Formats: sequence, structure tokens, C-alpha cells
Amino acid sequence: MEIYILILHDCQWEAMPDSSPDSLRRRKLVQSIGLGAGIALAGCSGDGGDGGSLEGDGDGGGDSLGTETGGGDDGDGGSGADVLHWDAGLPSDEEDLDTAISNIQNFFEERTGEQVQITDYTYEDMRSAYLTGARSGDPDSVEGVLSHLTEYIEADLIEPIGDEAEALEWYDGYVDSTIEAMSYQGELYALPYTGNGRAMIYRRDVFEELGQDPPETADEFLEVGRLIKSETDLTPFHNCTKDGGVRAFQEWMSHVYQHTENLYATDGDGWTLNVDADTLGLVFDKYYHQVWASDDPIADPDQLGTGWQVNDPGYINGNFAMIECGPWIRGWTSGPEIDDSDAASEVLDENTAVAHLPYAEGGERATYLEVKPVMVNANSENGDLGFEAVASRCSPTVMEQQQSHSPGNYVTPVHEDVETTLESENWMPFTDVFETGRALAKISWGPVRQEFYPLMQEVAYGETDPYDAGSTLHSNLKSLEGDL
Amino acid sequence: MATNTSQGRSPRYSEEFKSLLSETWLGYALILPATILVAAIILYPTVRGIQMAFLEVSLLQPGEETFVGLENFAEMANDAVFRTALWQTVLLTALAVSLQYLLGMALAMVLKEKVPGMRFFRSVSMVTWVLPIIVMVILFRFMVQNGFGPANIVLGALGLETTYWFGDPEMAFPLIVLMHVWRNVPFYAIALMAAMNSIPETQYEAARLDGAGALQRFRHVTLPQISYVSMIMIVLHVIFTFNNFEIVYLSTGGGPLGNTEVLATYVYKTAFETYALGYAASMGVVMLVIMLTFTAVYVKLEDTD
Repeated sequence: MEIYILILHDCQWEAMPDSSPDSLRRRKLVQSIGLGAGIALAGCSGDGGDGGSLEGDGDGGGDSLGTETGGGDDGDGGSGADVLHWDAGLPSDEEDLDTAISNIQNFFEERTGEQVQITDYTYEDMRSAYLTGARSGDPDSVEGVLSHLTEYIEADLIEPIGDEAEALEWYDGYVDSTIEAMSYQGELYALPYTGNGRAMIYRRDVFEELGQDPPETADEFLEVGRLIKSETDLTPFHNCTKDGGVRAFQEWMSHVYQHTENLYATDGDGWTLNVDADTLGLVFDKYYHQVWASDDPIADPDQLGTGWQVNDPGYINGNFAMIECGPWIRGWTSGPEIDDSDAASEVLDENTAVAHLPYAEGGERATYLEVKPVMVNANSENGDLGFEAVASRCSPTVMEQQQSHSPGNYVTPVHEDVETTLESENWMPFTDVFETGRALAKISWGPVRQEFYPLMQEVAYGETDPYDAGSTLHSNLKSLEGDL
Repeated sequence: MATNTSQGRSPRYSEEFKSLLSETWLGYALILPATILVAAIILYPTVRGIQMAFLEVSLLQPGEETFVGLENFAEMANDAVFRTALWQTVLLTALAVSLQYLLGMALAMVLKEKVPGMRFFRSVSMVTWVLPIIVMVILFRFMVQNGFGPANIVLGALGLETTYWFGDPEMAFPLIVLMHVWRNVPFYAIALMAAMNSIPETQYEAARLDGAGALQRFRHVTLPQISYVSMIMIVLHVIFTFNNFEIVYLSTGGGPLGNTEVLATYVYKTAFETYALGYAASMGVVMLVIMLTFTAVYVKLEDTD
């Protein structure tokens, strides 16, 4: 048997004969090792070893632009830092990112005389990396969303910081409901730096032209939506229906909260489902079936399966008359998603107003409360400095400094020493909406989300009756009670 | 005597040592650290993954493990989502790799031609392959956006139906296949072209003299001599596609209505959303067995040929 060594040269495999018998065995061995390693690495890398950072669906409200950038952007160049902090709530713009990181680092250095390294992440990447790697002790502190806080408590990955927090000179200024959202079983696990409630953002000019007030109830919402559809060229409404989209889950939870204090309530040491099947069916009916799959839908069925990437820019670009959104959309007038900056400014500054989300029969004003926690790694060897990183990230001084590049994060400040960035009267209702916000219960939300997505899509695509879906979801959520 | 023995041994040891240094063993010694490193990187996670497949273990409490034997595999047999994901993974892999190979072969034959500008075209054709996956997904998402996506603008101008194609239950899966094909065809083309270029021209001349037509020359001269490269390409891309996570997860998240759910995304959701690490690991083991079986059988068949 003749063996050829193949060399790729100038787009051509050059064949060099090598017929030595000894070389056969050696080459076979080396070939086998090489092929085995290659195949294994190919298996690990997925597609061509490209990898790449997950974009992460996030909630569309990670920063003022509602976008999240790729990770791995060191704050201070890495070496020499005493503390490592991970953060996904930083601005996406390079220049703003540098400013935001410097603000935190400078404050930290003034308080401690030490250095903090800040790594910018996407929420999804950060959560996965933290859940799998935090036991190594890195990072010392981490930012996140409320559902992460619950998971990290459950996994013993964050430690209570109540005593240290109470010793902070600015501690008493935090809004009570936000501190409550950071607490579990009497222990404080995080400090907040931003918060908002989801509201109905609507085209004031369109409503005025049609002589309509913002809808208070779900029936009024559907009625005005159908009127807009018949009288204008706009798509009346859009909400998120992407499988796995965190924003879709948050929008659904907003409407669930209008019927119950919380989806699950504590029951001794465990949790019990706190909503009935009909209510779940009602929410599916009013906000997914009627909106997308009825005979007279008020959303564009050709936009089914989309997330915040379509929802928010769609409104800003003047395509939708109503969306459910947080205040981060304010000021988003440039970027690749925006067709025309001037037109976007006009829509947001002059023609937009904010109202409470409409609620279905039996419900009341309420919404999903978004409060973002900053936590200390329970496995950190620099726990004290980790807490100082948390304190720096959440200090009113830094919050005020961050307002210049992330105004959307400070529309409804979580600290009384921080002024709101709101200037327009039309956007003021966000303050009232914030007060009706309800924080997620401290359960592991992953399994709940996984039960929600397929049924939500089945209803929105018209595959399942909303009340049947509500009944199935109720039964599935009930079966999760013991695992939460 | 002792002195003699000592004197007799020295040259022999010296020779053996020289032989060791100059021959095979030095080579093995040099690759040993890298081999150990690669083995540690690959073997440890593999063995740990297989071990976890027989345990009940939560992502949130990884220290609390319960041995459950084959329960995870039994659960898999009754899991409708797993069966759907498995079928869709196999279908995606078969369609994507077949189309990539056929189109790659066609492109290779074009790129092989010595016409002006071909060198530039060869370089440009690799763009899709070097593009990061996230960029590719954003590009595709933008193109099929309803209203302002270029694909829909063209379709609209032609009076055809427009929609957000990733949200269409019937079109999302073909679009995922298209993304795989679009991305990898150039890589196939370059590799196959390199293999074709290494075939001596004299063989084609001999075939022509024997009266072989273009199709026969391709069948009896080209194909047999690119089979080894073809095998490598197909094996690698079957593994890439079967395990691919990013393209599906970033573009559809497995939806709509679960129509693009593949094993990689389902394993991810199981591990990171429902925290069931043991069950996710058992699905990973099934994927590993399927890929090992495919690779072994395919390589054996190729070797026999």
C-alpha cells in the first residue's frame, strides 16, 4: 500500500509518496490521534469553530438602547485589578461604555483605594457563565435581572449583604419596593440600581385624531385597536411572541399580575400556584388570541414569532400604534434599527404618551416590575471588596453620573437622591406605572418559562383555543409546584 | 570484567540513546504534552458527561447527585419534544450536508476554471464562511423582516407573499437549512477544488484518448480522487451541523411552534432553563453515540471503497 502525504499548496493538494513500512504504522497512529482530536474538537465547537457570542434575547431593556452587546470587553485592561465585576446592564455604545465603566471604577477607587475590573456581558451569556463558573470564586460581584437573583440564591451562589448595606450612608434612600424585591426570607441579597414598570406606550397623535382615550380595559384596548386598523395605515399593536424570548415572558407576566399578587405564593416551606386556569385562559385570549389569531386581529400576523428586535424599533419607526414597553425606549433615536432619526425623535418626543397596561375583566392596574440587582459572589475570596463593587454600582452618585448616557435607566429612579430623567409630561405616567409594579416571586423561573412559550405560540398562531391552553398551562404549572 | 562490561555497555546505551533521539521516540515525546493536554480537555468532559447521564443532578445544586441508572434514557423515550428534535436534527443535517456537498462541488468546478478574475472570486467566495455566526443571523433576520427586509421588498415588488419568514411555521426550517448551506458551501468548494487540482492532467488526457466524455471523466477520474477529501468534509460537517446550536437558537429559539427545535437547543434549554443537568447529559450521550456510529460506519465504508 502506498501512502501519500497531502500538502495544500496554492489551492492544490500536492501528493508526496512515502512508502516506508515503518512510516505506515507511525503515520496511522498520528493520523488516528489527529483525526480523533479533530472530530472531537469539531463536535465541541459546533460550527466551524466559530463560536461567537450569543446575542441573547434579554428583555430589550438592558440599557438605554434596549440592546445588549457582546461580552469580553474589559473595563480597565484586566491585569492588576483586585476585584472582578460582571455586568450586562452597561451601554452598548463604545464611548458610553467606557464612560460608564470609568464612573464605577473611579467611585470604587475613591472608597477603597483598590481597582475593580469590569467585564461587559450579555445577560444570557453572563447567566450561563455565572451558574457554571461562580463556584471558582470569580467574579466577585455580578449584575443581573430579578430571575437571576432567585436562581443564584437557590444555587447558593450569592450571599446576604444586609448588614453591610445598612451601614452605607445612602442606604435609607432606596425605594422600599425595590429593596423588598432584592430580599428573600428576611435577608437582603442585592442592591438595585435601576427599575421600571412595563407600560402601554401609544401614539398620542393617532388617538387624538380618532378622538380616543388610552384604553383602561382589555376590551377597550381591542376595540380601539380595531378602530386604528380600520382608520389608519398603522398596525395597531405588537407584542413579543418569540420562542424563548425573555421579553415575551415579561409581557405575559405583566397581565398575569393584573389578576394575582404573584403567580406562585408561599405555602409553608413550599410554593403553590396562585392563579386559576380560567384566568390564564383569559390572558391568553385577550393578549394573544384576539391580538394575533382572531378573525379580526389587531397585530400583523406576518410579524408572528418576533421579539423586542421588531417590537421596539417597529414602534419608533412609526409602524405600530401601541406596544408594551419600559422607559428605555425613550431617547432611542439612532442606530441601525432606526430608519430615520428625525422621524423617530418626532414619534418619541411629540407623538408618544404613556398609560397603564389595560386589564381584562376581574383584573386591576398592575405590571411586571423590573428591578435590576447587583450581587456578591458567595464564593468570592474578596467578599468585602465584592460588596464595595456592588455599593459603587448602586450608589446614587454613580447613578446620577450614568444618567447622561443611559437616561432610560433613571426615568423612575430606585433611590430618592436621584432625579428622574423625565422631562416630557407625556412620559410622566411611568412614575405611576412603576408604583403598580409587582416583583417576581423568589422561585426558579426557568421551568415556568419553558411551559409558557410553546402554549403562548400555539395560541398566537391559532393552533389552540386560548382557554384550553390556559387549562393545560395551569395543569403544567401546578405540577411544577414541588420543584420550584 | 566489570570494566569490560561497563565499556561494552556504554557504546550500546549510547547507540540506543542516539537511536531514541533520532528515531520515532523523540517524535512521540514531542507530541506527548500536546496529546495529554488535548486528551484532558476532551476526555474529562466526555467521561463526566457520560457519568452525569446516569445521575439526577440539578444545575442549581450540582453537588447533590442521585444515581438513577437508565431512568433518564427511559424518560427520553417518552419525551415527544426529544423525538421531534431528534428527527429535525437528522433532517437538517441530511439536507444541509447534501446540499452543501452538491453545491460546493459545482462551485469548485467553476472556481477551478482558469478565467480572468477567478483568483479574486475565489477569495470573495469565502466571505460567508469567515463571517461570525451572529453576524450571519442578524443579516438573515434583517433580510426577511416584514416591511423593510430586502428579501420581502423584492418579493413584494414581484407581487408575492411577504412575511417574517423566521416566524412562519412552514418556512422557518427551510430557512435554517438555507443558512447552513449559504455559510458552508464555499468551504466545501475550496477543499474540493484543492483536491481536484491535485489530479494530474495526464489522467484526463488518457481518459480522453480512451474516448471518455466529460461525464465519464468526472465519474471515473475526478470522483474517485476527491473521495478522501469528500469524506473528511462530510464527516466534519455532519458533526458541525448535528451539534450546531447558535444558528437555530439565535434565529428562532427553536420555534415557531417547535418547528426548528433541534437536539442542541433542546439540550441547552433542558440544562439552563429547567436545570436538569442529568437529563441534558443523557441527551448529549445519545448525540455522541449517534455521531460516533455515523463516523465509524462512514469511515469504514470509505476505507473499503
